[in-house]
Amino acid sequence: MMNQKLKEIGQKLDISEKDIRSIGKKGIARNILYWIIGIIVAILSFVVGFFVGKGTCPAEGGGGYPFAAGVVIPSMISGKKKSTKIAVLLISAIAFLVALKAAPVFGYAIKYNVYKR
Amino acid sequence: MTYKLKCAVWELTLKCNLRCSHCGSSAGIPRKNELTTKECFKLCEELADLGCKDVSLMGGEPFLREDWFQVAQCVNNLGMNLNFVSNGIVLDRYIDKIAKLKPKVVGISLDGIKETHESIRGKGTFDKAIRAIDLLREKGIQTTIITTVSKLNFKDLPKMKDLLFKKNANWQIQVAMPFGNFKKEQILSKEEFYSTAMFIAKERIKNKFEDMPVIGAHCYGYYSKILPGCKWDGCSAGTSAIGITSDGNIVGCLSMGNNRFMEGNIRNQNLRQIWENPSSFSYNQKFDKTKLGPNCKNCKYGIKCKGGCNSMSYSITNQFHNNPYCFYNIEKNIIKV
Repeated sequence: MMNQKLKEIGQKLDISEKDIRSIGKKGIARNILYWIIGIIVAILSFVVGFFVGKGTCPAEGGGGYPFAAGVVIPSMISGKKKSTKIAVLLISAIAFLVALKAAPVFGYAIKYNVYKR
Repeated sequence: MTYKLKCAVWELTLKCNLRCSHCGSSAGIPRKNELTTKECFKLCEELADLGCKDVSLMGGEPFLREDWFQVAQCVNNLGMNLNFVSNGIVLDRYIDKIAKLKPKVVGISLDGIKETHESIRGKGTFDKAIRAIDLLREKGIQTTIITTVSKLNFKDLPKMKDLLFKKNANWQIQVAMPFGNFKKEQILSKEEFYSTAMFIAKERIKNKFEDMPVIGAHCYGYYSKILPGCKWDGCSAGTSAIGITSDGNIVGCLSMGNNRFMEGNIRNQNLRQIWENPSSFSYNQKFDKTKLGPNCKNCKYGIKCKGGCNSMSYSITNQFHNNPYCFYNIEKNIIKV
């Protein structure tokens, strides 16, 4: 059953019960997505560390994370076996797409500044 | 720990052609001793020297300063991203010059449908803002519409959506805070605040991001159990971002207008000295859990979130790291989930 208070708050801007349900579902899906991103990045970091012997660290404050991993990809695939190259590129492509899908909703524009894509 | 400056929000002048009822800067008349062109150029060099990537020129109204183009060009020449925030009133006069600068983004304020926008900003301002948005889009310049919500206009959001849908511009929604011209009684209630957040989430789910790229600013968050996309690593004031007032004062964020938070003036010290001074921006650079205020001290996300948007926290509770306008807090104490 829908939380009455949530319903009441939603009504202030004509947000229907159906909308609230889909917001809730999306919220759960996002949380799962973050886990997936985390696991993929962890795998990617392991692969980078294993094959290159050096790591990369996400930009301070999370800026660009997890895209930072992409920086080292070109250097690590040169001179490696074909299967390794494919695996690394596949993992990074998935990580990139998943991260893109998780585009920000809240908190990504400093007040008094301006958001850009 | 060393912090890297990434973004500067620069009030180029406090001069403004509008007197908006919610203006946090109380803009209108220029500050007494605004930086000269030469001082602006020097500041640009100091920003570049610190590795700053992104400079947003705003005001007051930045296009009212006579040398805005030279300063913007200097930002460009030093390899930093250039952004503007404007009310759009005089933008049509300068659109070719703006296009020549290739800014990363231009933000235009739009606070409601025509009637509401003009009740906040003055007669004749709505059509000019819309014209500015259209001109920017015609020139292929990324445009963000900035809507500052309060009791005066939050009910307009659904109508604004119809107006902005497929306009090919980003839509940044932020909360008006009680400083400057803005009256405390006009701030959104926590429930209204949460309702606007639900609106943002709903529109993001219902539409393709390209059709309705709406986002909530830093004042929207944090760690909701219901709303999607609320990851937040704390206020960036003084850790990766700074605000610069038109007379050269350095603050963590321009919405911390209080003199108490001015870390220095670039006329007395260079920017690097201010940035690297161990006592600067201590509220964020030396944050630890003991600094969390009563609203946040028992929260399991307190350490990570650092108490939300600090300017909002301070303007409402008179202390940092204590923002009561928090999704997690509202869900726990009002919605009871």
